[in-house]
Amino acid sequence: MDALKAAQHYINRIVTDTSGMKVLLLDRETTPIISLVSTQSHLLSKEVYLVDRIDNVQRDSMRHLKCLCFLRPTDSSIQALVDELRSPKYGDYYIYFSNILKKSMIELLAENDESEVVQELQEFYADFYAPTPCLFHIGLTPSTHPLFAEGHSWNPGALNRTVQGLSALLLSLKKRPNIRYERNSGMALKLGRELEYLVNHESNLFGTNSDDKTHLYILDRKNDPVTPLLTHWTYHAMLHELIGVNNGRIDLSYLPDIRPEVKEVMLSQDQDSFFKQSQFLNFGDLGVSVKEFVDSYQSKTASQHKIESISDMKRFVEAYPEFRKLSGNVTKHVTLIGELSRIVGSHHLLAVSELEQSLACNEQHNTDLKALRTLIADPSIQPENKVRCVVLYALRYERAQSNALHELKQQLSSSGVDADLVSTVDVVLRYSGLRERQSDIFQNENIFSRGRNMFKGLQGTENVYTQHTPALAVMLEQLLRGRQGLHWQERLPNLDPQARPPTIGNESGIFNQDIIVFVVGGVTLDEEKAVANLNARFGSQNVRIIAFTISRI
Amino acid sequence: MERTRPTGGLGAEGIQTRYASQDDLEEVKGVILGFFRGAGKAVRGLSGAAQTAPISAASSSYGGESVAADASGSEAWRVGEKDGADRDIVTRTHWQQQRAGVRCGLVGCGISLTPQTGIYNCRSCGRLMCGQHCNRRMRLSPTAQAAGPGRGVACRVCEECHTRATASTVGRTRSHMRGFVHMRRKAVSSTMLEGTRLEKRLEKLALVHGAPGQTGVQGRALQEAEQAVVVWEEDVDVANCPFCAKTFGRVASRRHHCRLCGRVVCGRAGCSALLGVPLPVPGGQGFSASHRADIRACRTCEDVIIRHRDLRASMALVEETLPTFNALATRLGNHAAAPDLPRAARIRRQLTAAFNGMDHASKCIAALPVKDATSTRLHSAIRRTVSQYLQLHMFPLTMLPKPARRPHSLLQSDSSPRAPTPLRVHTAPGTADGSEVDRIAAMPSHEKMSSLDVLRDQRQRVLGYISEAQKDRRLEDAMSLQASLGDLDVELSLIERSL
Repeated sequence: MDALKAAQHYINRIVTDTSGMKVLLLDRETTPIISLVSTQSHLLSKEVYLVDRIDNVQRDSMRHLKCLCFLRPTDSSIQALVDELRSPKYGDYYIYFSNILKKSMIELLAENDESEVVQELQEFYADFYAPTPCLFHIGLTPSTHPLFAEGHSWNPGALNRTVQGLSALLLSLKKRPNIRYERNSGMALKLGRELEYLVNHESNLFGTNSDDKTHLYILDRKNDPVTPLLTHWTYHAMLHELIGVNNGRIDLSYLPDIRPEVKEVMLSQDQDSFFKQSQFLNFGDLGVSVKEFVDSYQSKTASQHKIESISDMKRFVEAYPEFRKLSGNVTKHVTLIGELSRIVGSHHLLAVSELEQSLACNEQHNTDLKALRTLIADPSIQPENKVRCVVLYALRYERAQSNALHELKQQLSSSGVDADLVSTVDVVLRYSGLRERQSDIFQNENIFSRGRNMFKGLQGTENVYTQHTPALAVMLEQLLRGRQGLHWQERLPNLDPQARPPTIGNESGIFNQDIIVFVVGGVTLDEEKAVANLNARFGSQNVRIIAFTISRI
Repeated sequence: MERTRPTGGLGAEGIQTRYASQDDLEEVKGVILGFFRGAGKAVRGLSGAAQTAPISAASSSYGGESVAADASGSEAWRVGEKDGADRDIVTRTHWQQQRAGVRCGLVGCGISLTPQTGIYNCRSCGRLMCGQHCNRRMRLSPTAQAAGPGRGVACRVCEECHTRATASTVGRTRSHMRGFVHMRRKAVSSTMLEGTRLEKRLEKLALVHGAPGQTGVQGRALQEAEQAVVVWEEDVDVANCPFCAKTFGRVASRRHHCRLCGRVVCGRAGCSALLGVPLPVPGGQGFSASHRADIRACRTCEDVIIRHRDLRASMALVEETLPTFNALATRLGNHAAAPDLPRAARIRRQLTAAFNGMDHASKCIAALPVKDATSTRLHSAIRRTVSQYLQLHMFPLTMLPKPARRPHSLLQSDSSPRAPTPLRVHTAPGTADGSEVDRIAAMPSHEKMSSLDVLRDQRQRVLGYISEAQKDRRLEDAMSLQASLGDLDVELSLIERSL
């Protein structure tokens, strides 16, 4: 019942529905989708011996193979498939599309299948990327699909892709949700309307809404600009931010004298139990857990050395493949963590993070300003990190009387920060300044929240680097506990005004409540962690985050 | 869920006191049944109780039993009022009874159930659960099985039943095959028509060219005869080749006519080609296979003709090997673990043979002569799959019980070391103590042979691991492997010596 499983279910059906020797053809967009949820050895075990791209014209003809195609219904893929069908290189074709096909596309394919090689034509809605069970994204990056066209409106290409991805997700989970959007966001409303139109248009496909208590929340990143600006300290998030994870792959080839087997490593919850256990651990706990991991490995190595009898030896030969896998895994994680700690040290991330957390959580203008000034003057700090702190300052003290943003910007420029980077401060303010937000993220707008904030400050904090809680987590927790229902109803209205009022929370005795959250503008892995925690606590209500793209502003 | 006496029960009691002294049992029965029908209850247990009531009245134990039989129905009635419409339809016979100190039935929860936690029976599996783990809703059939969409009654079910039911239904799909086949039939029939037409023209052209040996029409006359088959395009109308868009010239790139459709094309290999057409046999019917005339055809027509004839080449060799490979694989999968040792030994032998066969087949496939890079990739992929499969399934093989009569072989390290016998040559500590030598000496020779085979097999495998480890510079691994290799050698030499 999560996105990862749904996608895996589709891939499994594609490779198992047909028996015999098979070749799998993919296109540019389905290749990463499949590689995230399946492995080469899994495909091989299902007799898929070749995997190739459909737009590769150099493929050799092999008429004794059956051909599985898993494609997105884009014009280029359809054209490549038409070319393929005109001069078929394989015996039979089983074609699966990852989204809703247009009638004209089916006609085009039918006209060109003159040798009658197509045996199957189906829609399997695995049109989203599912790196972990409670997070998935549509795979849009700013370079390929810019989010904004002009001002605060959708870029048509990105909107189209998002609607397709979300509808595929709903279909794969067999959901027809009640859509709610953030009132102040035109983009969320637009996306909701488009999605609603598609759901009503393909009403047969989406089924009826009778038993379904699924909610889809469409949120806008601009209401919480703070979370993505902070430095995160959990394992997965750090790997993503500091080294870069691209569809589960980490490229380490830039490191000097790296061993060849860890040049490019894979991260997967399914196959890597250590990663599954420690992906949400913060950096300090991670050190402890990796030490335990290495210790257990060493004790295993020691026991491997102690071979005194034939039975020991037999055991050794049996355990050896498992042992070799473990040794590869230890090397991988030790290398990754070593690299992380090198980056943390050389970029002085601990100092930066302390200031960030202070800016995000506490109202102390003068101390913050002083710390910020010393930070900017420090030449060993990365310019990006300086700018991030200034952006946080600008967001928090936007209305403060003694706002020194102008001087700070001048100081940034004089300390050698690129003018483009400095100007992002204004961009972020325009995008999600006080006028654009509808939530009180800093809790400094009225006397009550100030009081609450003060009280929280008195309690003291456990860890200075992880004080901040993402606004999304606060919101979901309140909704799930059924608190402040009216407040949220106002902030998150139903798209369809005739729909029954949103019923949320335990005391109203609801069954089958699934919440899917989509954030226009992306989510952070910190928020994924918060949702995973919520899922663990509120076992029966499943919360899912869907991200536009995981990245910083 | 308190056990309150139901209205129906009360009514029955009232009727019973009024009619108990009377003799007309049929009337009592009729009145009672009428009452229950009037109350609008269709619970099977209740109507059964009402029917048995008069008979027990005759044996003068009427009242007690009636009420007892009603008790289960009464609970259904009360809970049903509180908790939705499932009371009349979905069975409750499988429900877990409530007792003091009962715990939540969900694995991993197990808290004591109190009114604070909520006490619910999952309507599907019947277990008692706390409110947190029994708050899903699902449609159930009267037998408390998951019903399809739009059927059954929505009931309260537990987390596990809900996941089980929804996991199988995840992933909507839609097939377009029917519409596709319909559209394709239309398209294909039109191409078939086109194909036959072109074939007809080709036959006519062959006739024009004439039988071999016999000089057909030549030059100008030939061209006119060809033009009679299909109307040619005028040269002046076409300035560029329709396929490669090259401009025609007088000398360099000349105009050609497709003899099948009459279009003007250029003579480049991708745009037009010379089709070999079998010429008619002189004097007789049909066409000869050895004599051909070359007729120029444009790319489109050539494609149509070729597809119409559909010359398929197949890679016979791989296809030959593959069925045996697949059969072996399925045979391997079918063997279940057997409890008795002789059968286990037999299965083990069969499995080893099957593994060897599979390994051999895959090696044959990998060694096949290949023409292109893709075949190489294909073959290596097959080889990789087989070695993965073998690695996964060969290791449990060693776990299979060996033939009986030497059960102590696995426990040898536990037996107390004795004084070394003259046989002991190697001084590897703890490996070849006296008991082991005794054991080997005590083995019958055919058993020695078989264990020798096993050990040699293992030795080969360990050697492979060592070279692999050394290639990957994993020196610690290589070292421990080396140690185990030494052990194997000791064992091997012991057995060989004793033979």
